[in-house]
Amino acid sequence: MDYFLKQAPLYLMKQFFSMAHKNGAQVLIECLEEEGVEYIFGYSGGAALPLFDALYDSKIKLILSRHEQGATHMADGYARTTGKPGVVLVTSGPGATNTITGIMTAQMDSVPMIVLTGQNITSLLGMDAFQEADIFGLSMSVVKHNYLVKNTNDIARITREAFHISTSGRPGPVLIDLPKDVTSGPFLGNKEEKLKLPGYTIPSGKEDAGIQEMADLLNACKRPVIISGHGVLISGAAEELMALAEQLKAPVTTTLLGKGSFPESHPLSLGMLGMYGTAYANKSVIECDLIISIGSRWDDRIVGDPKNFCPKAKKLHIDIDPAEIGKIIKPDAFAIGDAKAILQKLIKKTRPVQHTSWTARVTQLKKEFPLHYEKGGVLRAQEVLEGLYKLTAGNAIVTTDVGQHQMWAAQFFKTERPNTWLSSGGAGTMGFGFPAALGAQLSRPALPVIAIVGDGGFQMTLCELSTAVVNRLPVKIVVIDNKYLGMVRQWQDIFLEKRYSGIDMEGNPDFAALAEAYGVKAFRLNHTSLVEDVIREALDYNDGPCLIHAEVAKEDNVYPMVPAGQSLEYMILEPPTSKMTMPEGST
Amino acid sequence: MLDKNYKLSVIFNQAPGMVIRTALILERRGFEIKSLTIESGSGTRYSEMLLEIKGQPDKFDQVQKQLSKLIDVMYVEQVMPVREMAYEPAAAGSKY
Repeated sequence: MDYFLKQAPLYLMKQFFSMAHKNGAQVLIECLEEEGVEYIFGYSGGAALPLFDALYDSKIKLILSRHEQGATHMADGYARTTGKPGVVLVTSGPGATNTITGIMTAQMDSVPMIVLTGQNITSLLGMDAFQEADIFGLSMSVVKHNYLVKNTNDIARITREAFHISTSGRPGPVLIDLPKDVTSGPFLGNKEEKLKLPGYTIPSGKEDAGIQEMADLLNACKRPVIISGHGVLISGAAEELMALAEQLKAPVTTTLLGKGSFPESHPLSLGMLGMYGTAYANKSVIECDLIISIGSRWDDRIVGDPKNFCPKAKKLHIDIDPAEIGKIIKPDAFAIGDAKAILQKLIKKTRPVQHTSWTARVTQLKKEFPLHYEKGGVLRAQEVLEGLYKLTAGNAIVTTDVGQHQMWAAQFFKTERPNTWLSSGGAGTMGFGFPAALGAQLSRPALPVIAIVGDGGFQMTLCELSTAVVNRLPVKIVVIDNKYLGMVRQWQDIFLEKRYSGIDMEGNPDFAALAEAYGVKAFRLNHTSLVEDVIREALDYNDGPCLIHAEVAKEDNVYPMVPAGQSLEYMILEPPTSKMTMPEGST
Repeated sequence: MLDKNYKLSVIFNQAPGMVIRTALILERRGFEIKSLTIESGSGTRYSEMLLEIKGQPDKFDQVQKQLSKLIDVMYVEQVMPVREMAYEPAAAGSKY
């Protein structure tokens, strides 16, 4: 035997090991199965051949996208609805680089995701070989963590580490770059090898620091407001939030990503706050004497100008990420940890109160400054979105792209339940909505899933119509087509004297005809009188995807609006009558 | 606000990419790396990165927190002036 091992040619040795042992790819797929992975969203390629081959024998279902970016957004949509990480599998080079936007989208919104990228063989790394991209280096600033596996025997441990990192603490994407010789080589290691993460710690919320201080301030305040963010949803703390809000009679406003953490039809709900939030939410924030942010990071689209953000109010902050405490706003009291655990303690330490005059004031603000839009005449996006809400009774998962339609959807499609509103908040990724809807539909087959997209964003990922058709996913795509990049046009309208530049979507296709070419049922919606019938028909259609092509008013603006970088006091409620100065804030 | 000089000690679990991850965090927040030394302890899986950096004081706290968040970082510590003197007697002497 010794003689054989020493003398046999390399290929014979490899054959011997491959007969006796599973290869790296097979072990990796086994690990994914053990982690409970149901779907992999991916796109094949040469460097990923061993992985796709191993997948052939697996019970995990491969959803073959038409572009790698689409695969990442599908995984993202799946993750946001289930809380489980979405898994992406792509090849090296352009396959890997095409995932960057989707990874960054997940990172900005704290979404768990595992991205597996095929890679050239280890001996060719750094040699500019075919389809080599240094995805380990390229992705470093948009991931929670990443790996380049150089030893097949590390595959099982690294995969388990990736899942642990991705789903614990503040979730995020983890990328594993897998050279082809590593995935095709024999696995001779220990599948149960212990995780090697001595530097990774997760605040548990078991620490009591700050909780009594926060409770004292909450008990003493007269005009509290709660900002509820994505952290409440990630933590599964909607029940605790409701209990705290009702105990303190505190109105609750949500961030864009916090929609669903508190039912928007509840009397204490103020809807969304911030740049395009409701006027009554922003005005309540201006008038409050205490504001508590739970699982939200005082985003620049909420705070505007941090120095002038509620200067007289006490500010409290609950966040699992220590780096968020004091990053934008210095809180008067804070607690670091899991929102659910902290809220449970806070509920016990606070007293039930009746802030009668504050409740009356907030009710008055709601009556005085409701969301509204001009009705009659040309079809408006808001009518379509309001119609969708009414006809589904809010019982649907909604995904959006980015821009005007997103803000109108946030305003007019009230979200009642956790994890039913999926939108790219931090990254603002156009092209997110439709593929994310496919991932969401896979995870919740019985619930209507509506992708509300703009004509600009939809064209970035519409190739996934094939994916929707092949998998018979009954997603309802609502294209809000105003033939402009509407939000940029709005800014050029208000701040740049209508010097429209780079916003005309001239050459848009007939989206209904395009959908039909893919085998997707299509509806045309171009008049107010058709809204109800078309939506009803689309909601009743479940034999696969369908698309509503809604041609809406070309030049319509989203109000209220707070110019970037300015405090909420500068909110614009109506179209300005004269040119306004371009705000200094970013976007 | 004027930039200030700081010294940091980063103890980390030896893993690929640590230097790049550290540099990305610092550069993104406007900190210039004046010097960087890595000392790998023998017989241990931990190393120490000593950094001399220059940047905005109001971002220094954030930089330390972001570095602490790196998966392989055990802890981050600002090297205080007393320790500076122990490291660099010549530089400390030139102050007067």
